[in-house]
Amino acid sequence: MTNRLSVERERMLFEAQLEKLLKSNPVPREAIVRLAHDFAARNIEECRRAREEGRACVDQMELIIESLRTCTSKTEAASRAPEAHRRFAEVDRGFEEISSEFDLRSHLVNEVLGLAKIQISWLQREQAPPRLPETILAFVARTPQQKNALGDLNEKFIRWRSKVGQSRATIYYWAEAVQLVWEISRSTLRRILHWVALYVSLRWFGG
Amino acid sequence: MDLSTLEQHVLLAVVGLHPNAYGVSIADHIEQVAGYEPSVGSVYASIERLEQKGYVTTRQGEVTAMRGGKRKLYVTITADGKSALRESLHQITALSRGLSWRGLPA
Repeated sequence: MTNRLSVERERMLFEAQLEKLLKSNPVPREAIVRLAHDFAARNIEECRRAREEGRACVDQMELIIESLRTCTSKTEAASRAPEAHRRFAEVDRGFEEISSEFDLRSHLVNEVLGLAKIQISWLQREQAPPRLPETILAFVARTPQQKNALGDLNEKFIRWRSKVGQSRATIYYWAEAVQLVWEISRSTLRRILHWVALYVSLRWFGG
Repeated sequence: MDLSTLEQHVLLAVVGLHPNAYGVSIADHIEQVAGYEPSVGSVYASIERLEQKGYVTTRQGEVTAMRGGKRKLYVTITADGKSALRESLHQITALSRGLSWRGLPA
């Protein structure tokens, strides 16, 4: 759990730093590359360490099994078994933690490198969706779910572009973006209108 | 059960695509099967409403190059969602059973 949290924190830290870089004008592409490189290098190093620790765990497991295998009698094996079982479970737990950390970190490295690659290619703006609706959507989207919807729109844009070309894809993007903004802000608008109506009725009919 | 047609279609797509149901794949599935393509906004709004009703759960997925660094939002149906969907489909079947189409405009 601790490892998962720390990996998640690292990812969030990376995203925060990347966002900060993207806000600067002009966006320093080299700095993004360096940031991604440093993150990846640090995590790859952690993965190497985890792999070594994992190997050590496997060696320990083999030693425990070997110690039982070398027993000369059933009585000796029976007396050694509980301790061996306890130690094996302990090492196995450690191994599980290490392998989960390895998985999380390697996943993080892939994600970070992918994210940096996307941002750099999108900085070139040739193949990116129109910036204005994207900015509006990024502004109105508050929850992670709403930001995911923006990702869906981007994915569709890439598809439209390959099917109908950049200009028509841009029109489709605009149309869908307006609808998405409406869907996102509808519940907020409804809440605001509800409170306005309540306030007005209290003022008018409340005396 | 209180399911709109689109919510019903989204739930059916979520079941059909399990465990890979997310916004775009749901819209694609509906387009292929039902013949119309719902917009990202309407699919997203349906998912949000279904989540509020407790019929689906969502989890963050991976970042892909096509999504401009945004994560996928995978949707899974809950037990309540399953029974609501079954109930809703059952109602339609019950309503359409024994209907006579003869004598109606072509």
